[in-house]
Amino acid sequence: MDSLILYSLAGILLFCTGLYGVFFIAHLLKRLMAMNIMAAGVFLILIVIARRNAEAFPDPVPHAMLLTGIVVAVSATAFACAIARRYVDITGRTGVDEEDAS
Amino acid sequence: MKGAGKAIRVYGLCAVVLLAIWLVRAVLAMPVEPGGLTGVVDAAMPQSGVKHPVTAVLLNFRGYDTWLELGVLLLAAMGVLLFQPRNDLTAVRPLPPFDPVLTRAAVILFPFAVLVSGYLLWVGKYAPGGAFQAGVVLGSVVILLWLTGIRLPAPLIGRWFAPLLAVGFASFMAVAAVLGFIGREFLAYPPEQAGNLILLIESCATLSIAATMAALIVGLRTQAQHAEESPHG
Amino acid sequence: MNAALQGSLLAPFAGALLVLLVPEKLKARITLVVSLVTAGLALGVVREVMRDGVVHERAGGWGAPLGIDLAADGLSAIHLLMTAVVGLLLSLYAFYYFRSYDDGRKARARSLFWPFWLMLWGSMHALFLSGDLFNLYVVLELIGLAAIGLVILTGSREVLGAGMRYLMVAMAGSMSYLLGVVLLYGMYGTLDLGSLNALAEANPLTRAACVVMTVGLLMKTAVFPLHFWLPPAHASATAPVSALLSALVVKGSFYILLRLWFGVFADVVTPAMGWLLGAMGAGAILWGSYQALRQARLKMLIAHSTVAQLGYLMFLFPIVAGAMDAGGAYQLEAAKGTVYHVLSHALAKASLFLSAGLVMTAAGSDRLRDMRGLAERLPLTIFTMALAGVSLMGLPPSGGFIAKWLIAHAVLGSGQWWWIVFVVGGGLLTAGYMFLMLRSAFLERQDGDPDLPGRVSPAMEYAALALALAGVLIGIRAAGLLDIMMIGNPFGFTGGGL
Repeated sequence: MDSLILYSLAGILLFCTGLYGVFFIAHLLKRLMAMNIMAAGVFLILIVIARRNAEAFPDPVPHAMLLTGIVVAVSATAFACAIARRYVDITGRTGVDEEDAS
Repeated sequence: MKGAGKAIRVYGLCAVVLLAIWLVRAVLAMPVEPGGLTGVVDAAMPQSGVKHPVTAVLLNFRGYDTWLELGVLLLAAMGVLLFQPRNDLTAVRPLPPFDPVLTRAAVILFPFAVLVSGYLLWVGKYAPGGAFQAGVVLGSVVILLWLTGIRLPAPLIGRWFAPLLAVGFASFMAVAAVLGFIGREFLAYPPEQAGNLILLIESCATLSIAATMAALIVGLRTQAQHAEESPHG
Repeated sequence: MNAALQGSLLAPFAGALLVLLVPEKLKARITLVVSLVTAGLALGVVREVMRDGVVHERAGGWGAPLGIDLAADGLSAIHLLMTAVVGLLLSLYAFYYFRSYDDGRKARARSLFWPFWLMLWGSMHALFLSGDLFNLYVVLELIGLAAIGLVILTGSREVLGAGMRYLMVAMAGSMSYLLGVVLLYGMYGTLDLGSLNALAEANPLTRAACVVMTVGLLMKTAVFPLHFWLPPAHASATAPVSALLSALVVKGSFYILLRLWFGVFADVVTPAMGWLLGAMGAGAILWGSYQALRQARLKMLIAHSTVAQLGYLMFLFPIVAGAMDAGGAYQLEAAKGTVYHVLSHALAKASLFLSAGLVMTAAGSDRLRDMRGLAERLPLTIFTMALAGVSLMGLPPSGGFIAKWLIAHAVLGSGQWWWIVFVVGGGLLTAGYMFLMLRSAFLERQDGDPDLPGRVSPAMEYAALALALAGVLIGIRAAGLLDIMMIGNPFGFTGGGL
């Protein structure tokens, strides 16, 4: 059980690190990575929840949620990459926050 | 302005740390005994049409989620296609041949990858595997071929590309429409046909996922190409 | 088995695939047909709800907790109705609006507008019919990606920057929501909303889930101070898209918030949390209105008005979490008023953004000072904007009046009188920026002014007018709509003496 607590705590640490990054990092690629770190934190907690019954087969529902979540996160990341790529091509800038004041 | 930004950062950091503490307290209060749906899933497995519980959850018990998830994939592919002149990859210029050894290796690998993909699709019924794994393998070998400078078959990245992207999402809908027409609940497979319907949907989903992966990588690369050729605005 | 419900999920998505694949010249027409069918099926669901009460459907035929339960109660029905009216008129408007988008980059934007819009419409239906927490997560992502796709259609640097910022916040919001879902599953072992409503109790885990889910959904609803992404996204998109985003998309995440606060989290919310949300609402009204008063561009003004109007939705929470006396009568009244505000704001704001699109076509720009003389040139559009303004300000007999009246009454009755300052003050501020907006249209044209080049299609003017009229009409016909809203008792209060 102790290792499961450790994993959950790691999951929360990842989630919170990512959350900070999404809001306070300017570079688009780094922000995208922060978003994925958030996701990884949530997924880690899902695995812990599935694995609580150490002896039997793990709970398949969190596993299915995890797989769905990964696909959704990949889709969103790829979409974001497409926009970011285009944005950098047009503006030559790597962040969107410089023009916030307007 | 810089100073204000810094202050906001500090507040943000404090908020995140507080949130972390709150969440840690919560997680420590989580019950240690399993309270999930393992038992419920086990009890329903005989009617699911497959032998692997995760596949059963993904494609039968919570198939509705998976349908919508294929919709998310389709939206991502549409987002990338927005920067292409048409709904296909025909505007993508093939890369120059990279390295004869690598090109040859990719060509040799291709049939094996298709085989592995087919196997993964089939084995999902009994063990970890299924449409997503199969689609990703298929998609990556296509990307590999493209990276080594091989021209992809024209109809595949042309006329048939958009239908390929859509076929996974569409297969779920077709099944739902037929089942609704014969008076069953939404996406409620008849137990004796569940295995076949799942295989049908998964085969279509594999094609869509592979095409989407290709679109997401190849489509991105093209923009970079065009950017290198045209001067920055 | 419910044919209308199944159809309302399948039709828009099938239509989206169809318009993705058919040749360019058919796309707009097919979208119109699909819109008619989709709206018709949604009305079919509403009719069944009115006739039989709550409509249930078990996706996969398994039933919760193994499968996903779908349900339509009064609250779903009202939202379906709103989506149908806005969606249908918007498709009609877009049919004419995108006619001029026929070269290069613009043709590409038009080509993908149709499938993205129908995907969004289908996702809204999926949202209002879902009864499962994880399913709602997938639906939120569908809505998010479809909405962002619509924002970035034209591919200009403004929309790409706005879309990128929107995407980051939307994804962080969904992840936050997902973490809450995971925590609740870990605690209660089910994802079904109905079961969770019965199971949930006050404990640290549920409270933490409440915090992360609420914050995540507030990000997506763009509630002050998490609103920063909204004005650029809503102002830089094309007119039909701005209308969609302000009228429907931000209401989607708020709908989930309503469901959660009146269900799973009913026992864990504390007065402090409610007051915090109320304060955010007050801040939204002040800040959004202040910014709207300062804008030189029409669409930025309207977008900031959305920030302000979303603030009204927040006063519900201190009332829900506050005093539980009077048998929940004031909570119920506040909930009714809040949902009514969702409805009337959707109609009025969609109308305003569509009108802004017409103004931009006619004046060639959306600077307020370029609107001089438009009252003569586009009398119907300016009248439409004034009519929508009546509803936003909350003047009788509009829907906005009913909404603000109910909210104000609940605020006073529950003893939290101080919120009334913002409810009334917000109305005055709205009147202020509406005046600024319309004033420029009534100014005389001067010699130096550029010509008003563009012509607008009358059908587009009528679509915007119909939305503004609907916004007033729901004020006159309020009793019937409120009755529909209460079918299946979605807020869990019986409502005591009122």
